[in-house]
This record gives sequence, C-alpha cells and structure tokens, in this order.
Amino acid sequence: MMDENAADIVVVGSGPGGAVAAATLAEAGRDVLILEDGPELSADSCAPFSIAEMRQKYRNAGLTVAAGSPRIQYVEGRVVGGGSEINSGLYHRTPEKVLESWGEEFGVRDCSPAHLRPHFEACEQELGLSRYPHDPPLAARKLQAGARACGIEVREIPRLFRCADSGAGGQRRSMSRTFLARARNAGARISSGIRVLGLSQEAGGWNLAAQSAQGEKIAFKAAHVFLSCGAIQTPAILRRSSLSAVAGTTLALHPTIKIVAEFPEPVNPGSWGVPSFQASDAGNGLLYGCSISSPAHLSVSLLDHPEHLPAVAERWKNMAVYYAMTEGPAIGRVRALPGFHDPLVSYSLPSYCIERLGQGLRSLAQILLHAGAQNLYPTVAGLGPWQNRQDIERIPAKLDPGALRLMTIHLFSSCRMGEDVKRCATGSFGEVHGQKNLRVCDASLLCSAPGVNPQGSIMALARRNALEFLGKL
Amino acid sequence: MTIAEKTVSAIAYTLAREHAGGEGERLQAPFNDVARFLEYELAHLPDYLRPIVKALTVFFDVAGIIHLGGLFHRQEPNERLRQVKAWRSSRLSPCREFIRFYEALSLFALHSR
Repeated sequence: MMDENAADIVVVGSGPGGAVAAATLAEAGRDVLILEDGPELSADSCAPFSIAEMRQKYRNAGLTVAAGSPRIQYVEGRVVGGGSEINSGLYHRTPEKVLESWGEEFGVRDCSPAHLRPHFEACEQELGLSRYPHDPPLAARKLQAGARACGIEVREIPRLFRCADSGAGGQRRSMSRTFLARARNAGARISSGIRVLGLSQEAGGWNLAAQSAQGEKIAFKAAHVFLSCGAIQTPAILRRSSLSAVAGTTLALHPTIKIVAEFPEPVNPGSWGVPSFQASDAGNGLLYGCSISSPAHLSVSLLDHPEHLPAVAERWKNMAVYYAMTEGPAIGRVRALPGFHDPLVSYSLPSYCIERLGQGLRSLAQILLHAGAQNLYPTVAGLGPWQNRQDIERIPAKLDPGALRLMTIHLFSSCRMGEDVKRCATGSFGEVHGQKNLRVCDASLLCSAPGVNPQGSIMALARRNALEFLGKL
Repeated sequence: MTIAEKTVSAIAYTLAREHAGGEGERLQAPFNDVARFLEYELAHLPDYLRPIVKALTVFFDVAGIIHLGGLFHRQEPNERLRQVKAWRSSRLSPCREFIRFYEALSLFALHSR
C-alpha cells in the first residue's frame, strides 16, 4: 500500500515555480507530492483584491512588512496556486540584459536568452497570454496618453488571462487552472493546509517536519525535495534547518511608490482589476503602471491626505491609483527567529534608490498631469496634493525615507543561483550548495531584480531546472 | 472579551465613525464588520509582531487614564476621538504609527462595504 506521506519527489509550495516543476516532473512519470501551506480554493471563491481575498489567500492576511528604513509592505500568496492566484497576471520574459548579467556576474550556466527561449515558449503556450479584446480601461488610456506626451515608451503588457468570447470579463490563468491541473492529471498529489517547518536528511533522503492547519504535527518522507515556497519562506526553511548559511543573506525587491490621480471625468468603472499598461523609463530603471483602484485601495492610498479622504466616497469614479517602481539591490535579509514560525524580513533602501523613486514620482506626476489629472496625491507624508507643473518642480530633490509609504509584490534573490558558493545558495539549476537531492525552484533563484513582473522568469526557470533534474535538458 | 479585544473594537468604532461622518448610508454605523476585520488582522499578524501590537493596544487603552481619566474603551465616543487625535499627532513615531496601522485597516474595511 502506498504511503500517502511519502513520495519520490516532494514539492513544497504550489506557486508558479512549484506548479511548473511539479507538472514537468509528474508528466515525466515521477511520483510527486505537492505540499501547500494555504488552502485549496476555487479561483472564484472571492472577488479579486477584496477583504475576502486577503483573508483567504494572503499570508498573514496581507499584513507582512520588511523592517528597515523606510519600511516596505509586501504581500505573499498563501493558497494552492500561490501568488498566481492573487496577482495581476502581467507577463514578461526576463529582459535579455538581465539574463546575460546573471551569467557574467554569478556564473550561472545555460541561462542565456537562447537557453531560456524554449521554456518561455512552453509556458506561454500553456498559459494563453491575452490582450484587451476591446478598448482598454480609461485609466490605462490616460497613462498611455500622458506617457506618450512625455516621450516615455508605453505599451500593453500581455496578461495571464483568458478573455470571455463576449469580450466582457474572463478567467485568470492561474496555476490552479493550468500547471497544477496538468500535474494532477499526470498523477501528482496535492496536500493543502500543510506547513513545512523544517527538513532533515536521513539515509540519503529527506524527512520533512510539517504542521497541519489544525496544528497537528505530520512527517513526510521524500527522496528529493524541491523548495518552491517563494523568496521569503524558502530561505526561512533552509536557515531553520541549518542547510544553508548563504540562504536569506540576500533579498531583492521592486520598491513601489504610488500616486492617486483625480481626473475631471470618470475613469474608474470599479471592476477593472489592474489595467495592463506599463510605461518604461528603462534608462532610469523605472517602470510606471496602473494599480488596483477600488474605493478601499484609494482610501488607504489617501491616508497621508486626511482632509481629502471624503473625496473617495464622493468622487472615487474619477480617481485611479498609479505606481512608479524601480529595482532594489539584493541587500535585504530573511531570518528565521527561534521560537517563531514567521521569518523576520529586513530591507533598508539605499539612498540612490530613494533618489530614483523621487525621480519616478516626479515623472509619474508629469505623466498624469499631461493625461489631464487635476489633483495628484502621492503616498508620501507631507507632500502634495499637486495640481500643476510648478507644484512638481517644488518636490524636494531628496525625499525623507520616513515619509515614504512603499510597498512591493515582487521579492526575489534570497537563494541566488550560480556557481559562486560564497554569494549563491544554489547551483545553476537550483541545487542547494552542499546538499544532495535538495533544490530551490522559485523567485529566490533570481540573481537580481529583473525590473519587470517576475512570474514569467520563475516559470521558465522552473521548467528548465526540472528538465535538468530529469536529465532531459 | 479580553481588554485587547475591547480596545480594538473601541478603536474600530472611533476611526470608522470619524471617517463615515456625513457620508451616505453605505458608510454608516454599526461598525461591527470593521471591528471584526481589525480583530482578524491582529490575530493573523506575523507571530513575532502579534504580542508587540497586542501589548501596544493594551497600553493605548491604559493610556486613556492619563488622557481621559479612565480606560480608553470605557470612554464616550468624543472622548475616545480626542485620544486618537492626540496619538495621531504625537511627536513619538510609535504612537503615530500605531494609529496609522489601525486607521488603514479601518478605512479599508469601511470602503470595502
């Protein structure tokens, strides 16, 4: 009789890295068990970006923060399908210059654009990328018009989304609907509500100490383990298990600052999700886009402008949230605290990044003024609102870090891949340095911030690494 | 209910009432949903932060004795608002951040209706 708590390969985590790896391994005939901390829910179990979604699908109900100056709020998915179930689904391939730099600086083998192309293509074929079948939301067109007027490149980004034939609505192409379904069809098992606390090696295999959602201790056994719990939980498990001294000593992210723009006419239909247009100021390492703009998100973004909060109830249809995002260096840390399950994450933004975000704030404000915005409210204490170019010229060159309200949804580089054992926790294909039959397969592997939404990079690397494990690369 | 729960509920009502003022029916009392949301979020904070925020919450309640002559959660709504405003504009950043934390959650819950 098969031991349901044992498998040839245990994949810990079911987000984009774990799902793609599990599908690739299961379809090659391997016995795969996926352990996911979060629950298994229908993709339609709640409205996107709602309170219910925070409760059901976000780790710590959405209240996670990187300590440092300034503090940076971040979110992680905690559900079968991981971050793909809660993100905007914007899809990018890793920029070619980024892949080349990983090879040059970290000695990552077989990671050039040519090496990764077949993996991007295979993932894209499964996911079914889409663009708007009709006119994009008005808030996106505002960004488009403003960026063009400022001479900044702007384009529609394909989404992991399948539009309905009618053109109205559609379906997010998350992992539960794509690679996890494939993994299951190929015989993989998924156990949800299982939190892996630590790993230990025994007779060439691995024992996994875990805990159920009810607090019951459970042990699992595997010949091979793929850790795919994301850039925070994966290094925490490795450190808690004393399996890597390098894991978690680095962490990169995309610090993001926002502006609420108020227009004279309605731009916000209330049900658009995240408009998929981005403007790229690549020379300055900045990316601009539209963010979720429900009344709830608008009100929190206006917290530093309390006298204007009533405007949300009165005029939210005329308001939208926009962001400026940059690339943060890998200077953060993830630590496992003795006696606690949740890791301590720290990240102090260097002054050049703060200057760049200040520049991003100015450029984004210019874009939005060109787009016709009449009031701009930045998520910076003591700044704004701005109504005209003179206001923007008065933005101080150096922003006070304590006044910045930053967030990110992109975290990576906590177990970087590469052949330099002093800087990289894993080898070129995710093998944990110094360990046998243990791999990392998630955003932790990215050597640096890619500057774009990372899900495409994570999935392509997961497929490449799983095929290398199978000897099929 | 524990002291911390009573205080969270009182904070939720105070902040929600302040931000609902003058708006349509959608944002009006009762604010039990806002209080429940704050309690839920507090219970799901990272485990190393949870006791710190709970302790601060109880401290805020007890600080009512200095500000108002009695525990915060036992005060009348206008008196509670006075203490919230005092902490919101405090020179001490932990006091300001404490109010900001609960205010962001209260606004999110209120405008999610």
